[in-house]
Amino acid sequence: MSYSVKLHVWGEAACFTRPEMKVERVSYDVMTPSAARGVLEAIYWKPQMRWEIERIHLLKPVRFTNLRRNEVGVKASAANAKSAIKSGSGSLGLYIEDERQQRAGTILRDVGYVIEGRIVALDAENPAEKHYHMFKRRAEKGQCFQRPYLGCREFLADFAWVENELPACELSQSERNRDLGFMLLDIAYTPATGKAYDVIESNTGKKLLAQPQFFRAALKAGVMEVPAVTSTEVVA
Amino acid sequence: MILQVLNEFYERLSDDPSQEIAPYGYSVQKMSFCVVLAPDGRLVQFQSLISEMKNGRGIAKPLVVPGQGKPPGSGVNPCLLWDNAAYMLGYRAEDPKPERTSQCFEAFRDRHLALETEINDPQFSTVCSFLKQWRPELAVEHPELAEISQSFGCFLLQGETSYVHERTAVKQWWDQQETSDSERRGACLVSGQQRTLARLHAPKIKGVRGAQSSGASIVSFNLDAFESYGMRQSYNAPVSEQAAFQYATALNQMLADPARTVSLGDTTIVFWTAKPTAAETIFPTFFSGPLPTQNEAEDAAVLARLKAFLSRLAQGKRDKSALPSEDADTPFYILGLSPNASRVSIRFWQVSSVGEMSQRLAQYVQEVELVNSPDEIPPTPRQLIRETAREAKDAPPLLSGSLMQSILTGAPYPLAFYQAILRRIRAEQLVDKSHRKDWIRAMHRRIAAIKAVLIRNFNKEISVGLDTNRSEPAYHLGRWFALLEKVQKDALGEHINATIKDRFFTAASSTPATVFPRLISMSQNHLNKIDAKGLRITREKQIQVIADRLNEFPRHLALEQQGLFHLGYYHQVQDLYTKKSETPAISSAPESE
Repeated sequence: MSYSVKLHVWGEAACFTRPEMKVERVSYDVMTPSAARGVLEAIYWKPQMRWEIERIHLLKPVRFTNLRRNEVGVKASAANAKSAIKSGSGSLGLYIEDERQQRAGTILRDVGYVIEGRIVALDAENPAEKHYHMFKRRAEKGQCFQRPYLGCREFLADFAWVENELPACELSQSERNRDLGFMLLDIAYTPATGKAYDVIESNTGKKLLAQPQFFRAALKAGVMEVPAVTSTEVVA
Repeated sequence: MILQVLNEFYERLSDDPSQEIAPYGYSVQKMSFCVVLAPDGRLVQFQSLISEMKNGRGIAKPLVVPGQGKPPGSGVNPCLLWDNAAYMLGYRAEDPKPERTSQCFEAFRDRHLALETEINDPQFSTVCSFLKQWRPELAVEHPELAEISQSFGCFLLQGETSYVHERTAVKQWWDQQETSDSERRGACLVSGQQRTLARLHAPKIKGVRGAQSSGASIVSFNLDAFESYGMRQSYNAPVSEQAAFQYATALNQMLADPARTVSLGDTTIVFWTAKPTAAETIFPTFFSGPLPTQNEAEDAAVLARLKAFLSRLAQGKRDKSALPSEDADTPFYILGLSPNASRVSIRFWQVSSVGEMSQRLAQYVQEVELVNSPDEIPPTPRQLIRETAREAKDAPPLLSGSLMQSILTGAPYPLAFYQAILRRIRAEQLVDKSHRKDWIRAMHRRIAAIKAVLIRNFNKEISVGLDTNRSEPAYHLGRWFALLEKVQKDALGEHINATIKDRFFTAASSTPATVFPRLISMSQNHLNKIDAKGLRITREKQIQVIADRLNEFPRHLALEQQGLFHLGYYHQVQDLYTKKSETPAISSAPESE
């Protein structure tokens, strides 16, 4: 049997940034699958398993608001850090007064979702059932590794385990069905060959290439179906 | 979604023969002059393409030309068959750098001569022979050039109707050129198809108020902190070159059309619908007021159309009669843009339908409707925003965006807007009359704003005119104050220097208990001064009716009640100055009895 979980998440604000508008951030209308995966992983994750998001239920009408924040416009230099480690001294500081960037954000207000995700066990010794029960116990108690968030760290998510009936959907009839355009599904990581790599996997230290994957998202009766990563709908 | 819908709008425009929109690889540029050549390449004349407007300003002619706008920077970048006078003729009025100008001309000439055999078109060759024989020094013989060469120019052969850059052979050659400097292909976020991806999004977005005049970008990754996963620049957001061109061109087209754009505070707003509808042109007119048009008859027609539309909205007939009913379900898009450094940020984005938008607008129109309005149409959001500050330019830019959003979404009005209006009423008691010519209008608009907030944010039911049966004491205190002022004027004449309103209105509206007893005793003196006995008795009765509704004077009025106070005052004043033959006199009892 498949071990699917349902988790109700909600919060006062959320920002699931669109890649094309990630400088002056504009949120997607609905939570992205990768953000949903992040929420589940914040509550429970082990190297022996993987989360697959199946669908996301939108519970509240899409409402936007604006804010502006001061942020830093540069990355800390990895090369400087490396040479500082080698030589034992060096300047690693960033001066926020000099590197300040004001960025506008169009973010979501007052959001609520039900995430449906499936556990895929990666080794036979730890069956999915075990992960399922561990997740369930943790979610029911409100335990998490780190506080789950809605797209950006500052937008905290509250969560509750959903056993049977879903929380009420507040969408009007006209809001329940619509096209959401192309949405980020997730980033596919493949082992890097050669020198070029995009990220280093934190638990193994392996060098990986990252490839964003997109899918055509649509809301049907207030539910966004998420295709499997391998399906033909996914474009990369 | 935004880019996708803009891309669809581009397709709508390119299918519409009445719209001039540039195809991929081309752009619309403003041309102020045209070099007319004889078939052998001799110069015939420099023709002006500037057309005069009603207000005396000249408007350069927009033409579709190959290539994007001139790249900025110090490099020498000649365009094909169009450019500014420095490139085309080696001429610049009051030239600070003659060397550079001649370099430009040489680059322009060399580029065209190099292409002569490749393009192989008789008209193009004529241009080449002109470029071969032209000497920049000759420009002095044409004094008219200084007048007409501020913008770009192009070539035309004598006796021809279309410009040289519009020749089929030229277009064919141009379309074969790879315009992209990028080799990267991938899935386009807008169309989902595998295409050449744009490294930078061109053309830039022009016409957003406050943004750089050379254009700004919605999609731009100009610092490494914005980049992820080793991607450079716009590869972080894979959009095909064609989609980037189309969405930006569509947006530029809208931003360049004054009938589609509204600028409120620091936000520039564009409206459009999925298919052509009346709503997409009438909505912006409502928000910004009618545009100045070519002639007065047209002005009057636009105003009449707007008035008819709004009055139908106000009567609650909504979209069904105000707009063709088949349009009601057409998607309606509103995009608010505001500048931020070299970028354009999305201030708001809303997708709804024409019917829904008409309903929202009707709600607003009903909320701001008041008796005895000095204006023919209800106050526009811009006029209300203007009332939150001393000078129009001081109006807080953030407020206008959020007020607009409230109107468009039906959400509560921003409380900061309400507070700002109350603050202005308090601050301007004395200066109003002497400093602002339009203070009656201003007063009216402020009360309209208060009424709208009371209805929407505090769920009050408020009538257009005087309502003697309201339960809130604050409303009746406002009415009482109006009467006290009227009594003073009855006694001392209409044109006294400082009325009790000038001196006590602020205090009366916030802390009635401290002011009202004093005002009432003053009023006794005023009443005694009124010579006409009948009038005195009428006023005493009117005051008595109001006083009966109040048990005590509140010590302090909260913001919500202050609004009611202002409204009560306004309603009572309007009622006092309305001829009693038209409206029934104030009565505490319902009329039916």
